[in-house]
Amino acid sequence: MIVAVGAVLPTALRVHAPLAALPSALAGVVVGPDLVPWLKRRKDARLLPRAAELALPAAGQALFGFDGDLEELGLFVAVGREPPDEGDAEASIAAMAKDGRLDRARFGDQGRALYPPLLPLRTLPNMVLAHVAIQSGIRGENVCLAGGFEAGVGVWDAANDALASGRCVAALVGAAFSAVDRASARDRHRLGQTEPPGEGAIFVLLVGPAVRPEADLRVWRQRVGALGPVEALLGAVGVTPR
Amino acid sequence: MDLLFGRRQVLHEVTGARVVVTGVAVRTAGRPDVKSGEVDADAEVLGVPLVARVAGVSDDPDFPDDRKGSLASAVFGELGAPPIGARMGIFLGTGLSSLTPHEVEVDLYPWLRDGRFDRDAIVRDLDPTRPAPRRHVPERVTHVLGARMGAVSLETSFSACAAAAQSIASAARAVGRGEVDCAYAGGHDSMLHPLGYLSFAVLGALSPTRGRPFHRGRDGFMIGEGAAMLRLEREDDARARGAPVLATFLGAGSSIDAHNVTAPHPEGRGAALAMRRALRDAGLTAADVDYVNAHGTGTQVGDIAESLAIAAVLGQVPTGSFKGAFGHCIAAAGAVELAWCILGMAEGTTYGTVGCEELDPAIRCTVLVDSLSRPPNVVLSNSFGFGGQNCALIVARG
Repeated sequence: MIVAVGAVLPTALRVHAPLAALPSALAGVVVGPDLVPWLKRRKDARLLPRAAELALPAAGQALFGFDGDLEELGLFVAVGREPPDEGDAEASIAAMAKDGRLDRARFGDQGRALYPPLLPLRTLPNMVLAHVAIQSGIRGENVCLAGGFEAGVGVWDAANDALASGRCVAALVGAAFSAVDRASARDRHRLGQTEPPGEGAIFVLLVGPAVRPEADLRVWRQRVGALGPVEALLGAVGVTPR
Repeated sequence: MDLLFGRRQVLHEVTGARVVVTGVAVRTAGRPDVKSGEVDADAEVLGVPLVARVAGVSDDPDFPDDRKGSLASAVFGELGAPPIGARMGIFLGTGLSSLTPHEVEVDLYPWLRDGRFDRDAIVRDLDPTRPAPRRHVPERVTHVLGARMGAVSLETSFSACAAAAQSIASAARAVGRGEVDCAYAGGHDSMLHPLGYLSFAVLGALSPTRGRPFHRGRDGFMIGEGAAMLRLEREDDARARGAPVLATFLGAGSSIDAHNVTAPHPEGRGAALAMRRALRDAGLTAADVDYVNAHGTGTQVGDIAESLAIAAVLGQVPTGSFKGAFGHCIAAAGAVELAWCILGMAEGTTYGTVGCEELDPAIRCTVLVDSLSRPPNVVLSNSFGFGGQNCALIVARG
């Protein structure tokens, strides 16, 4: 049974200035969100990839008022493709170049010195799950799945299985995804995915197994762009686009 | 019945069907009882010279410039076809792609002007043959392999170094509850290229010597690569068709540290939770486990935390780590290590801990240094990932 829902989603397609160099600058972009209410410490914000910025408020809303045992609360999260490096490593990679090739000597010297140590922690997709867990104290059974619709469906099924077999007392199930940065939007074009990119997060709190509802998401996609695995959970929680 | 993506939706139908392992394929740099590792020039310039590379794996045509995809394809081929008529699923744990030198040189360096990248020009380059997008789609390997075998269910776990173990647990449950008849489950990963080394070196995780789990002077891990896949089926089906049963899947447990994105909980709180849940899932007590394959990376903090957790949950059960032998295979670790445990059961060997020459007195569990010429009966295998995800699997011999 679904007892709570939290969502951070765009409301419409808009021109997104960073995508101006692409054939279309339309994207479904979330304004904000305000992370302060959802962080234990403000400085934690510097570690968050965009998908985690969206996931924290969505998960926090779904979890609001939950007074069960967080150690036995399951966390099942669907994520999208690896977040790109948005220029953090640019200085390092540029410093390694010599005549258009990656130069081994420069790699070990200037390249290493300039490489941002926290970059891998921003590009690992499961950091969405990690940050939700760290900020909320969830320690239960968990999975982190990648892969658009199938990931959303997969986390739903994993949560149901865990609840049905008593491996968790309740389950926070969700998805978070962002493809509105320039590298992701470009890569979508390269892959032939020309519908506007989007971003968002949605989480539901389950206290017992529940059937995945279905919803027609075509209209939603036209309004707020492609949301990857978020779409799967939009349908799952019965968000019917109008 | 919901056929969305081929996954049959099953509620309240925890069948309890026993799931067995009827096939194992694994590629690592070597065996768990032999020191592997070679000096790599790119790693050497970072002061972490040894890496454990798998020999004899060339680029698969479906996975150009993608060694982890090629490794997955290799073990997939070795495992062979699923039983005729079986509804098959593929459950794979995968790791971070990270930029390869080829990708940097083809996708980025053409746009380097006076030491800075022309970001607008990079974004305008929509050439579909560029290498960047495909490698960064985590589920791609699962999809390609699934298409080869006509799989009806696909799942890609991205749980850092716990990914492959999570995939095996998920696959076993899918087989047990009847969602699929047969699952190919495991993981694949390789970060053996300069930027792969760099991403771990800047975190201080790589050893300047070699990985030495539980050793007093351990100083990080040797990076490895690998892939492994298990064929999982319901026991009744396997016995009916006369398939060899190598091991029985008994249970799994997972947890989250909720502590720090890189450092484990210092007392192994999350690790202990995962092991307790695995025991509960398997219906076992600590006394039933006679060997632990530790995550045992060879980092100072990680090994101590895990040893505290093992001692607290299981007592003084013989514990080994394979990472001193063939390195840390990152997202594939949980699969390659469980695969070697199962092969050890079949071959009559309990593997020790290569590289542990002087046990650190701060380690609280019983470390098995030398291999034993008898098989373990019940193995618990740990995998812990960045982000604090932990997974423990339990299998029994035969």
